Amino acid sequence: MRKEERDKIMMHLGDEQRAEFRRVISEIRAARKATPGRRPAIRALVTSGKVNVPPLLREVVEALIERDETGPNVGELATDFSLKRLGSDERVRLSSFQGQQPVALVFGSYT
Amino acid sequence: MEAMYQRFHHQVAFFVVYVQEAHPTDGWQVDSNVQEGILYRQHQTFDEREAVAHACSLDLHLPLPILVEEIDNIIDEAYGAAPERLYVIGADGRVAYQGGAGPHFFDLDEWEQAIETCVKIGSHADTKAG
Repeated sequence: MRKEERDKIMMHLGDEQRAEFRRVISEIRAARKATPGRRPAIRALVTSGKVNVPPLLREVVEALIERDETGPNVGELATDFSLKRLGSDERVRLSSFQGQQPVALVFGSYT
Repeated sequence: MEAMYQRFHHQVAFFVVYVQEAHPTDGWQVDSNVQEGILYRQHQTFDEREAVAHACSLDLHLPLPILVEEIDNIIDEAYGAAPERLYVIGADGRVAYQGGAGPHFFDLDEWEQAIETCVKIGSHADTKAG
């Protein structure tokens, strides 16, 4: 699911549903921190009933789970990319760092 | 985050990957952005994205180098990134840390621990090789 579609689901939540959503998120965070070692998958917490998700929030929580499950996992080869560096004509290729040094990535935007 | 960058930027390559706007004016707008005057529509072109990334860098005084995602958002989607996410890639090219989907599961402490672990592994390897 693309971000636009996820956002549309969130935008349609009313104030009460948003408050409930925040409660669900808090429960998931607490459950993950409470588990020693590798943190449990959100889907496992929801399907096992350790975190209760009201029916009205199932679609938005499923969208969140789907995004959380997307992306290269620990131990997997990182998806390579070549992106332009801001303020320069240089392009940076992720795989050029392999065998050289670790890379810390912060994906984000201003808003 | 800035402290980690200052501490480890000689041993770790840090990058912000600037992706699609989390809360554009033509999408899911939020009150805090309206109050602070951070008002940007969703980028229509790469040049527009680059311009907003530049404004962000200046306004927030970001010391980390910034890479700009292409307008097709393929890498953003591949990493399950937008609106925000943290990763650490080990020197072996494999994911050492995959952060939870942000902002709800954003955990800077975990990310920092993963960076420290990667640096320790690197130091240990250097010691063995030497």
